Amino acid sequence: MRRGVLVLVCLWASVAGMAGPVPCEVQAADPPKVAAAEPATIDQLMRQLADLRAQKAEIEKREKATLAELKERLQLLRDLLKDLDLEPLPTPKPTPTPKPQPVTSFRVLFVVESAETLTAAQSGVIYGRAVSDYLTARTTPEGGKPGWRRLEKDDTAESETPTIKALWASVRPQLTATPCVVIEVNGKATIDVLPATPEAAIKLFKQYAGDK
Amino acid sequence: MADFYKGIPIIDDEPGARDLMYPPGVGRGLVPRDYELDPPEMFAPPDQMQLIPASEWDARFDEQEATQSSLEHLYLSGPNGTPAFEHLDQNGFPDCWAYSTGHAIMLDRLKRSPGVVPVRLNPTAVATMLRQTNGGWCGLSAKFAREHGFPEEGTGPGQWPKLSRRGQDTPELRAAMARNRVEEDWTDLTRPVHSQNLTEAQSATCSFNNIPGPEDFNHWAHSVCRIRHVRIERGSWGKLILNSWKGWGRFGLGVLRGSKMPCDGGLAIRRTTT
Repeated sequence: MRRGVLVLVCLWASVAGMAGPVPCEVQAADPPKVAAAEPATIDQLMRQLADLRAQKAEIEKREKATLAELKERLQLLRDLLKDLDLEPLPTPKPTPTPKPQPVTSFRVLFVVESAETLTAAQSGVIYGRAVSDYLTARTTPEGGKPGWRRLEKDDTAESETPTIKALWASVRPQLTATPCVVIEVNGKATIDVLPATPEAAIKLFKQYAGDK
Repeated sequence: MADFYKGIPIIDDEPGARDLMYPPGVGRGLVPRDYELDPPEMFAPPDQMQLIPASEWDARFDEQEATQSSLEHLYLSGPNGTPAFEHLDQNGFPDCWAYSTGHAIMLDRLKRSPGVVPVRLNPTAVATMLRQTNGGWCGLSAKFAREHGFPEEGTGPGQWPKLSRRGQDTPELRAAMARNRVEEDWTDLTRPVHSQNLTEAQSATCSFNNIPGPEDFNHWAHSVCRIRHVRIERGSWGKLILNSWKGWGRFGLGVLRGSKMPCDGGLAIRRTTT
């Protein structure tokens, strides 16, 4: 056990030693010495280019070799930690930037309680022509029917299309207040408050549908 | 003809309205109530309806017009302002009281499944199955719709032929009927079917909430489906109805005004089977 700890310390020192800047034996090229009044000739410029390319190739070669050595030593360290039953330090992973997924399914359910008296504005959103036209054109159809409905909170949707039926079964237990709107995008359902106006409703639906 | 609302004929007390109300060869079928036999009771309104006061009607009508969100707009949402479905025709049978409920169920379907033509129902079958072939009331057909559902029109299995008294009452038919049941409605169930009614305030509230309903009119001996309360002109309101006579009015629509407007029997269909 003591020997293992010793090896560990040595390896840490070794790795720590590499944490500084990697010495580079390639000297920076001197600026071309050209007489002030005379521009460099094509031959001189060609030679400079060849030198620079050679230096670049050498640097890349050394970078590769250093990286390989670093990986090898880190692997040794990991193996040792594993032998000692110590968890290796987690490698921090960069947080991936979420990319917008293409919308493959888009469905909407307006939910009302038929015993409640809606306000004029709520009726305009739920039954209005502009909202209706947008949803009929944009939602995912199934069985020849558009992908949106106006449902009553006590509906069973037994005779509905399979997807609407499944969507309703998944969100119905979560409904707390009516009227509201259920928006499904790529299989994920969200229960939202009813927008105040038809314009606001279309704006909201466009956001979910990925429309500009 | 006295007047029009958006090209839809208005039925009021003008002499010309009689021609519209009683064209030759049509069937009606409402049995006017015999008040000596069935005296009027105190009317008990359906519970818990949040009434929309008349002071709000103008604003609500304007909003419906601006957003095209009324049942009238939904019904006339076909190409170029045509109906979304062809209205039913009782074709001389005295079954208006079943057609008014049938139309209300179909309008509820249209409202809830936009862009989908509702299944055509067969109210003649309801009158036949109830052995009520000499007239009735919308409350009776609504009771049947609540308990059994409405048959579908057609000649396939589980369907009843159009305008026929000779359909087959089979298990398939009953199963299909269950898909067209009334699940919730505003009905005064404490009253017998011939006296179930809505006040005008309740009827108007349902109209502004896009809840259709069958209504009986003794003065017409007829039952039709209420669709909407409409403002014919400032201060003058009418009741937009869908009749069950082919070629009548504008796509079956007419407006009852003045003394012709209040119903003698009525209910509102809030939810049907989905």
